[in-house]
Amino acid sequence: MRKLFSLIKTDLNMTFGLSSLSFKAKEKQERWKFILIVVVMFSLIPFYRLFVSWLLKIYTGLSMLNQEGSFMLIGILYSQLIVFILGIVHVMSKYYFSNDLNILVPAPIKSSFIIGSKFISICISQYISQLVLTLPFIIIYGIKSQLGFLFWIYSFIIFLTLPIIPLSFSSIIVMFFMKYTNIKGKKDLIRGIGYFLLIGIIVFLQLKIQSLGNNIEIGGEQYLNKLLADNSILIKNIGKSFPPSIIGTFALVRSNSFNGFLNLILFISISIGSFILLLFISEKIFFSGLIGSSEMAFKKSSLQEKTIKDSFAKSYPQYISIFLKEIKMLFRTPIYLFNSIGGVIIIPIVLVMTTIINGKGSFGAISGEIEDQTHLITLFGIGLISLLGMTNSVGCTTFSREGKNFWISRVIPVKVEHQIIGKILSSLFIQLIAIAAFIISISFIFDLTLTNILGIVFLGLLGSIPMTELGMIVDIMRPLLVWDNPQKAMKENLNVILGMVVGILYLLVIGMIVFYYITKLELNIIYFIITTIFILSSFLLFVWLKKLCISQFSNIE
Amino acid sequence: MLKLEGVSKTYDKGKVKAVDNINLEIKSGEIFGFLGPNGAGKTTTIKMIVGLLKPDSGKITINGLDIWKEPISAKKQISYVPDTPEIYNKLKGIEYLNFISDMYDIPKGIREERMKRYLEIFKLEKAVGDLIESYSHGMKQKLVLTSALLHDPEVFILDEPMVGLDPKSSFQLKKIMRERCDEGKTVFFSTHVLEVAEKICDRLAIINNGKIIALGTMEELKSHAESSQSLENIFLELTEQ
Repeated sequence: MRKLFSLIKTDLNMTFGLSSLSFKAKEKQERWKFILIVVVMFSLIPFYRLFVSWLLKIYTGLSMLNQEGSFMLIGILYSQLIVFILGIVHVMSKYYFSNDLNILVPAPIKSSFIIGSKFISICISQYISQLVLTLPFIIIYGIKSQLGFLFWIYSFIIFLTLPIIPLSFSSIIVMFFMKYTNIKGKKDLIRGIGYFLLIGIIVFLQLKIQSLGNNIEIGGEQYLNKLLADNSILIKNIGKSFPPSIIGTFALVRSNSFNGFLNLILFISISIGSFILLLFISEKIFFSGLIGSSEMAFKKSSLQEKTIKDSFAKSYPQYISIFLKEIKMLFRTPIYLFNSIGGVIIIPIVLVMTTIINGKGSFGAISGEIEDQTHLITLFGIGLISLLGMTNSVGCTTFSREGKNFWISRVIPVKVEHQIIGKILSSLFIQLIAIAAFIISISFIFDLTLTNILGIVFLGLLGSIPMTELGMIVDIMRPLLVWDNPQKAMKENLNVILGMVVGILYLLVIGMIVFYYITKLELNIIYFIITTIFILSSFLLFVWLKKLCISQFSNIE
Repeated sequence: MLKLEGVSKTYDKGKVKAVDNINLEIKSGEIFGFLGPNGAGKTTTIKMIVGLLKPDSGKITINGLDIWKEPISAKKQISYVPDTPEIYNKLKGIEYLNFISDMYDIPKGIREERMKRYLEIFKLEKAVGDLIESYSHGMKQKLVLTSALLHDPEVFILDEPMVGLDPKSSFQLKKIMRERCDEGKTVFFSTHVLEVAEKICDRLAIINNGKIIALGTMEELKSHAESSQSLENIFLELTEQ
C-alpha cells in the first residue's frame, strides 16, 4: 500500500509540477507566470457567467415540463461522456507514452499499481474540470428544487465518484487497443488510424443507442402528456447513451427517498466494481501493450534503385518542404497526432452529439429556429473553425515542438517568411480535416447548402490564418525548447492556454462586431467585413511575427 | 574566407566572459583546428560563426559576408555539424537529406549524385529508408555529416566531429576534410583529440577562458612553447598556466 501511495504522490507531483511550482514561486523571473494564469482565469469569468445563466434558463424550461430531473441528468451525463471520450486521449498518453514509464517498468512494481496510481492522478485532474462544468448543475438544481441536507451529501459523493466509471471504461478500451495494435513494424501508423477508428466507433455506438426506442413522436400531444405524467421519462430517454448516469441522477433527484439511497449505493458499487475490473485487466494485459512501444523497427533494407530515384526526384520550394516536414512530424508523433487532429475531430463530433441528444429531448426547437436562418450555421461554423485554428495547437507549439532540433531552423539559409508560411500551411492542413469533420457531423442535424459549405470552408480557413499566427507569436515569444518528451511540447505547454486566451479574445471582438451588425446590415456585407478583418489581421500579424522571429532566431541562446 | 574581428560574448548579464575579444582569419584551402579544455569557449565561438549566438561585440564575415547583416547569403556559404546530432527523429534519413537539399536549393541531379557518394562513404545506404529515431548515435552523426556536405559548402564548420564516429568513418571524414582543402575550401573544427589536430590541421588555435592563447602552424606552436615536444605537451603547458 505504501508503494501505491508513494506512486500516487510522485505522479501527482509530476502531473501538476508541485515541486517545481513551489521552487518557481520563489524565483522572481517565474512569478509573472502565476500572475498570468490568474489574469487568464479572470478573463474567462464573463464566459462562465454566460454559461451559468444559460443553465438557469434550461432549468426553468425543463421544470415547466415537469422534467427538472433531466437537468441533473444532463450535468452528470455530459460530465461522464466528456471524461469518457477525452479520457481515451488522456489515458493513452498517460499510460503508454509518459516519461516515467522508463523508470517504473523495470522497477519491481505490479502493473495494477502503476495503472492505479496513474488512474487516480487523472481522476484528480478530472475533478478540476468537473468543478467548472458539473458543479453549476448541482448547485442550480439543489437550490432551485429546494432539496435538503441529504441531497448535498449525496451530490458530494456522486461528484467524487463521477469520473471513475467512464475513466475505467476508457482505460480498459485503451489497454485492449494498445495490446492488439502492438505489432512490429508500422505500429505508429496502425495506432494512429486505429485511434480515430476507435473514436469513430464509440461515437457511432453512442448515436445508435440514442436512436434506439425513441418511438414517441417528439412534440406531439401524446409526448407532452407523457412528459407531464412521468417526471423521469426524459432521464431514461436521454441517459441511455451512458446508463450509469441514470443511476447517478436518480440518486440525487430522489435523495429524499429510500430509492435515492439505493441508487446511490448502486452507483458507488458500479464505480468500485469498474475500478477493480480495470486493475484486474491491467494485470493481464497492460505490459503486453506497453513493452516495445518505444521500440523502432530498423529494417536495414537498402532502398531499391527505383525508390532512390523516386526519393531523389522529389524537390520542392522551401516553404512546401517545410510544410511537408511539419506534417510528417505531426502525423508520426502519436502525442502530436492525438492532440492536433484528435482535438479538431472530437470537438465537432461531441458538439453534434450534444445537439442530437438535446434535439431529441427538449431543445428540438432550437434546431428548428436555426433551420430558417442557415446563415447562422455558416457564421457559427466560421467561428468554430477559426477557434479550432488555435485549439489544434499546431501554431502555438510550432517552435516548441522543434525542441533540440530548433538549431536547424536557425542555421538554414531560408528566409523567415518562408519558414512562417510553411508552418502556417501545416496548421491549415489540419484545419481542412477540422472542416471536413465539422461539415460531416453538422450535416447530421442540418441540411447544408453549397453556400453554407463554401462559406465555412473559405472563411473558416481564412480565419484560421490569423489564429495560427497569433499562436505562433505566443510561441516564438517564449518557446519551450528544452523537453525530453513530446508531451511537454504540446500537451503541457502553457503557450497552448495563452494562445487560446488570445485567440478567444480576437474572435470575441469579431463576434461582437458581427452581433452588432447582423440585424442592421445585409448578410453579404457582414461576410465582406469578416473577410476584410481576417485578411488585414493576417497581414499585420504576419509582419509582426516576421519581426519577432528574426529577433528571436538570433537572440535565443 | 572566415574572419572573426574582436568577437566577444558574455553570459549571465556580463558576469561570465565566454569569449573575449577573439581575432581569427582562416584562409581558403586551410584546415583549421580549434582546441581548448572543456568550457573554454569553443562551442560558443562556433555557434557565433554559424549564427546561433549573437556576439556582444565584434564582426564575423564569411567570404566578406557579415553573418548577422546578410544571414541568408552567408549561411549558404557554410555548413555546420553540431557536437550532438539532434535532428528530426520522425523523418526518414532520405527525407531529412531531401529536406536539407530543398533548404539549400540543391538541384535534383546534383543532390542525387552527392547523396549517393556520401551515403556510400559513410555506409548509410542501407539505413537511409528508415526513420532516424532507429539510428544509433554514430549513424545520426554520419547523416548530419552527409547533409552538411550536400551543398558543397565553402566553409565547413564542425564541433567535435570525431565524437561517436567509428574508426573507419573517422578516417573517411579526415579524408573528406583534406580533399575539400585541396579544392580550395575551408574547414574549421573544434576537437579534443589532439592527435587528429596534430595530424591534419594546417593551423591551430588554442582557446582558454575565452581567449586565444596560441595560434599558428604546428611548427610555430612548437617553437614558441617551452617544451617543444608534442601538441599534448604544448596544450597542457599553455592551458595550465
